[in-house]
Amino acid sequence: MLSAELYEMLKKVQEPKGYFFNKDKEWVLTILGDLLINKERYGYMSCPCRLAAGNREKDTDIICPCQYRPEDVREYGSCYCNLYVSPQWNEGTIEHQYVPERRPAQKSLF
Amino acid sequence: MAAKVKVFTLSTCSHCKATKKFLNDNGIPFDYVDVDLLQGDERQNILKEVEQYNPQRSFPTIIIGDNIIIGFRESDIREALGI
Repeated sequence: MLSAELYEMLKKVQEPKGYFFNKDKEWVLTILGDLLINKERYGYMSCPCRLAAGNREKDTDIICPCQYRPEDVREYGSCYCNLYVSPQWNEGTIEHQYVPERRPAQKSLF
Repeated sequence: MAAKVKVFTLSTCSHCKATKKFLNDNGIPFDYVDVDLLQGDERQNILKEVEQYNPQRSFPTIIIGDNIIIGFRESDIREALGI
């Protein structure tokens, strides 16, 4: 699959849920390309911004869209990777802060 | 003398790519390790090192002299580099 195909596929599913792609399409396509790399590597689309354990059970919370997306988009207007954002984030009506890692530290110890 | 810059990164991480690009665009020499491309003991040893700087082991973890910056926080990076 190509990043552009994944883009169209996910856009259809995620937008109705209130999660929009970052309007910087180049940024988005790069991340989608990295998700496809991880799918090839691990067998699932693990978040490319985080180190995967390579074990589906341990990585379950960071399979994209990750479990932290709702809280991060609610609080910062963007997920950790700046892949999925709120309309306000895209419109620039909220400040673009760096989204800190919300995943508990012990989950990344493996 | 310019501060030594070391960056712990993932080859797939967008904020890590942005960090490398920022350093390159500003002509800052730096060392980096793509931790996801390492395996076995090599990976574990580097992760222990990352953990000393950043217990959460998130990426990028950026070391500029004595400063530790977690994430691509451009203004913090500029300040630490004095640019």
